[in-house]
Amino acid sequence: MQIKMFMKIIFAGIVSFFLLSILCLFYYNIPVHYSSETGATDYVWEKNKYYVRAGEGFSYGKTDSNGYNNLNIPNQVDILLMGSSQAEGFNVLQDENTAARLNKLLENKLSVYNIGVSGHTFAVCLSNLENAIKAFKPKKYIIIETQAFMTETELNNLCNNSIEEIPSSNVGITAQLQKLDYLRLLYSQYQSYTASRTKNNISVKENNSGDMKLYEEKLNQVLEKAQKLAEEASCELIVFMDDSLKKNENGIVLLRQEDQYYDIYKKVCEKNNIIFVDMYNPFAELYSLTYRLPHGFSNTRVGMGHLNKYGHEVIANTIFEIIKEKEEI
Amino acid sequence: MTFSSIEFLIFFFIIIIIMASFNIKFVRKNVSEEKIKKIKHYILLVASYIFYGWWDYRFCLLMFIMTFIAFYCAKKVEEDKNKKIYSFISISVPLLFLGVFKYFNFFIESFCTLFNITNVTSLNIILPVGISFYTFQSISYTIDVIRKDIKSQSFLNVALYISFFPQLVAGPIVKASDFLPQLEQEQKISLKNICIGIQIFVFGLFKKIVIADNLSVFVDDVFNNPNIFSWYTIILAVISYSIQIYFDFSGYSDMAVGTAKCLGYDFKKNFDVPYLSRNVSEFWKRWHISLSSWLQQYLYIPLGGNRRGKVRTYINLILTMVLGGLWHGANINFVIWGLLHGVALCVHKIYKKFRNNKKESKIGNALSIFATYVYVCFCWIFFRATSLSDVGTILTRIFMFEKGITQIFSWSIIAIIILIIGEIYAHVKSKKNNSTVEGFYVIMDLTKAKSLIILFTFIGIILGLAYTNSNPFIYFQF
Repeated sequence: MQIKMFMKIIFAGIVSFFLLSILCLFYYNIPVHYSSETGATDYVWEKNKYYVRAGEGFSYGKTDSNGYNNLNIPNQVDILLMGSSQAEGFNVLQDENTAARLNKLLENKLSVYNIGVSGHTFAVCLSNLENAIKAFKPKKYIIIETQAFMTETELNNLCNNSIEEIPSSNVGITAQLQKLDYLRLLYSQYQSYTASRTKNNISVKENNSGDMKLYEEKLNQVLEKAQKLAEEASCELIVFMDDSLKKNENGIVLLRQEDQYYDIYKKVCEKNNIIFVDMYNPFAELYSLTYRLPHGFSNTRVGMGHLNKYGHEVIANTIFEIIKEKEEI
Repeated sequence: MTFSSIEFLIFFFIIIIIMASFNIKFVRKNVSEEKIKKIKHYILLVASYIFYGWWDYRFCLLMFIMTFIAFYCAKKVEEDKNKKIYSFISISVPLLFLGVFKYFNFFIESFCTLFNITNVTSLNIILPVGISFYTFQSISYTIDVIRKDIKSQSFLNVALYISFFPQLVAGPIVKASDFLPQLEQEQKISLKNICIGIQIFVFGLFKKIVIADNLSVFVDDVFNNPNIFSWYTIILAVISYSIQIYFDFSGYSDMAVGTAKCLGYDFKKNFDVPYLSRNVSEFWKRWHISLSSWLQQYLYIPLGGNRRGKVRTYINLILTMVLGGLWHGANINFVIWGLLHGVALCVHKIYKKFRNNKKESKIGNALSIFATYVYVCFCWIFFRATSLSDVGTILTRIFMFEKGITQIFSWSIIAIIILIIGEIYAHVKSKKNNSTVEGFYVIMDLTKAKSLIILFTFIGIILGLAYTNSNPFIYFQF
């Protein structure tokens, strides 16, 4: 009797896991990531893999044959977009992210290729820049997205070429388990649960020593090197900050944090002939005209999290205006 | 430690194992049934104090003092020694504790505001979790003894009644006359009870951590910054709050009922599809039933109820509801919320006389349900808003059709659909049974594989969709 009941429980467990996995196909179906062969990014997603993400925003699509989030791979890359999950745009439909919108605006006159991948901070992107140029040979522009200023540690690591690589657990049993979407969903829930109990959201201000002169020197050293690499590839470097407009706890919609860092970034970029795009004003305009915020979705906290379709649209329009002026399109 | 925490699940598992060990034949052979019953009560008492002390061990002392007063005074009342004095002490001392911990700062601040007194520093008094609930239970015990509804009990029984962990921190407010008789018999841990209890618990968990907690994201956003949202977003937030508080509190009550059931105890239901009420009087028979029946039995009726003429009845109704509002918290918003409900109860009483008990048509019923829901939502604005000025902002923005950020929150839509489906199902079920609309738990036979698959899948959905940021139960603050 007890053995029969035990068998029933096991059977029910297996069947319900199967049912939950089917449900995940429509809610949380994320590709596994693998170490990048080219080094253009620390990792790439599983190639040509369908995905669905509904936990933050709602999106679905298919990764390209390089493992990035693009509708197509252009024959020739004129503009290479690097960055984090914000540039990657996994939370919006594939034709709504910055790269896709920019491609549409450029009407095949120039092609954009997006190699933005989650977790790739500004420092990681800069450390991968040389490999990215080698791998994709952009002809005109390299755009790097960043949502936060680098910490002193990151700057030091960049200067010493010792930026830590984002690991990919794509071998052995971990890789197999990652293919089970429901298990990944549980793992992501667990991570979010533990993260909420160890709030670790320290701003760059709190992380750094406050020696702005030294910070500026190091930033200059790093960006000078990046600009040199871009120049060697006959490209212009564009850096854009997307984390400049949000709703804070007091309800203030137009919010600017850490002004002094903006000033330093702007100054150092200008000094090195790098185009620095500050998204603060375009985002503020979006809000004042339409009451729309660039971040957040219908299933998240208002104005928080990743860029939504409006945010991507504003960024694409802003960058397009810069390119249009330069290229006289 | 909350019901939806991992700590609680481990704690509860250990308790169940310990309690179940008394079912072992060897124990039954060597220890008398009476002794087993007593040991089990001691274990539950210790477990309840551990559960409560998890927040702050100092709170246990307060609960112990309240228990002792209830026990001692009830004994003295029963012995007929200075009955009036002991009756007075047994009711006033718990209320005094409640007043100091919950309302002291509120009254001082209100007094200072009224007389424009500045530079007064208020005391930083921590509100012990669940004090409003166990204060009422302690009073319920002594009043029942005074009324001779029950006999005075041993200290162990009184202590366990007041501190019993499934209902300790957020109710339901179990009446002494409902709970104490259950202590007279040994409540055995049985597989049948555990199967039922788990299903009720899981249902409550879904309501809390999937629906209510996910809704809290949107509700908090709007109610914390009402001045930046469009009028229809605010309306959606008010509707969302009405569902959030229902699912949060009824979810907690379900978990309490389920936990108690696993241990062999029965609690009455605390909610009964409240948003299908046709008027506010019916709403209070369906919403937080344990509180409304407590207020009716121990406040409204002693005040004279409806036995002293029309005017007095209306005054009693309003007074009961205002005090009920104040019970929720030391805030003028709760007082107004109670007042609004009190006025609505009076209006309904007048309307009932005017209608002369004529039956409503189907459309009339549907309109009554809708109107009652809208009014209850209007009252929730006062309940949820952080200040009266926020209430003003919310109402102005709604009625002036103000523009602002628009957020059609997905979880709100999902919650509305779930609520409507649930209520339609309850309605259809009642029609079938030819009875009044009632809430119910879907209890499956877990010996069948099909039921196990449904339960496991449901648990899997809860784990996958749960809101993972910490979000305490709304009623803990009361």
